[in-house]
Amino acid sequence: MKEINELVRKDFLLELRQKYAINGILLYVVSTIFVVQLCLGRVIDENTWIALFWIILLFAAFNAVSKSFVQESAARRLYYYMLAPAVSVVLSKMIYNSMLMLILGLLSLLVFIVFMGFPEFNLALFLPSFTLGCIGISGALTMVSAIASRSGNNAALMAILGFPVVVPLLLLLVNASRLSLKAMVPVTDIVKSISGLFLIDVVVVVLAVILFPYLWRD
Amino acid sequence: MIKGLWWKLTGLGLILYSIVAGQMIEVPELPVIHQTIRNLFYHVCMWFAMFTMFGTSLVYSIKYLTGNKPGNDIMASESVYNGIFFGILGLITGMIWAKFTWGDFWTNDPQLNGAAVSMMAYLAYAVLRSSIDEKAMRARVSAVYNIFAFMLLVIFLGVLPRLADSSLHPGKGGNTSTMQGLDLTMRLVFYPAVIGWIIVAFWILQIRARKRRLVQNVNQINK
Amino acid sequence: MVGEDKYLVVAMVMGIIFIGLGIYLYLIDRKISRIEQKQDELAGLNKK
Repeated sequence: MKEINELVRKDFLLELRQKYAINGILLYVVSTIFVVQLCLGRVIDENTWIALFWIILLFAAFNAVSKSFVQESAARRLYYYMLAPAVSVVLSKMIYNSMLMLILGLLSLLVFIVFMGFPEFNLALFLPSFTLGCIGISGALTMVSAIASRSGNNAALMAILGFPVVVPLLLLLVNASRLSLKAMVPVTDIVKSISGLFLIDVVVVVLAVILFPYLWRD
Repeated sequence: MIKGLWWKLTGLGLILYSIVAGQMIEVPELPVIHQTIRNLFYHVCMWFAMFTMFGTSLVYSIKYLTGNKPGNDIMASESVYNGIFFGILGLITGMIWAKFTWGDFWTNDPQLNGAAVSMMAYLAYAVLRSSIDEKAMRARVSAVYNIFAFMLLVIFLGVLPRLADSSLHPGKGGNTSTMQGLDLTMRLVFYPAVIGWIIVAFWILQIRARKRRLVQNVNQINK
Repeated sequence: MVGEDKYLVVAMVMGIIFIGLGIYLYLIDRKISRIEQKQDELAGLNKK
């Protein structure tokens, strides 16, 4: 537990010092949304809103998470290897990436609302699915970036490997967001879509905890 | 002369039977699909064979991670390649079927999207393998990704289509299950066909793995 | 039934193609078995 804490703190310190991820990705999100606004105009229908929002967030996630293992040099990896068990390394990375992703997601939601307006979402469904989706996407991408970092050209591989892994999550998220547009959403539907997302999150975390030690040792 | 000749011949015979019988039997008259229902004996078998191959590769990947035997890595990767082969056949037969029943080669159907994305995941597996040079590392990393990809396949082909509102495939999204639509004569062709294709898939897998081992041995001797 | 012959023709053509594939598989299997045997013999010679 202590190691996880320390590792997460270290990642945040690094982030605060460099401000590379947050600033770069925010700029990316803002400019993309601006381009969308230029192309489509301010008023777009809700389905387009949902699709654009998740696509932009997905690519932001790719940018933010892909560096999580790639930036660690071989020497530093050896250092971690001696300091902490593999499970706490992967959990700390996942926690850090989920937090980063949530911050990024909220900020881009804000920018989206400013530029494109906010459809009348049912917040009881949208917010939990948004949170779970951010956690799931960042968790899955963390694992993929760990896999990609062990191979030669990781930038291209990250996209190839990551895309199929996040598509189920993305589909569920888009479905949940569409569902939350309806004025009256039955409670069973809310429970169904949120539990689907939750299930995938749990599977991703469990698989990562089991499989990461095999990736970690040399 | 050939190891296990009998089960191999059984597989061939079952498929041959299903090909001939699949054309000759009377099929129930159904709306939209009419006589194209006969494609069921070929198209669905491809997916069953693919699923079996990916399942086999999952088993061998887990075995590799627990034991680090290079033989298991060969089996795991070859069964993935074999599964991709059957998956592509399944896509082609499905697309032809779709053209003649739904009017388009590709429809926005949850089952189709799931199949496409899981094929992509396994193609990514092939790319991943070719991008790592060191043997032990390649085997380990690709085994890990393989387990991920299989989880995806299960979610995609098993869970998501059932959650979706509508689907053109039976058994999903409120449609009646395939098995209810099949009458007895069709089952008598369908089940042997599935078993036969799975057997032949294992045969192809065996040949590929043996070839890989031969090549490996020759490379070692050359060194 | 009209067109019964057509089904027969399709079945025959597909059957023949498939038999060809089956023979191909069989031949490859035999070839590999032979090479495996040869390799085993060579390995045996090397050990001696």
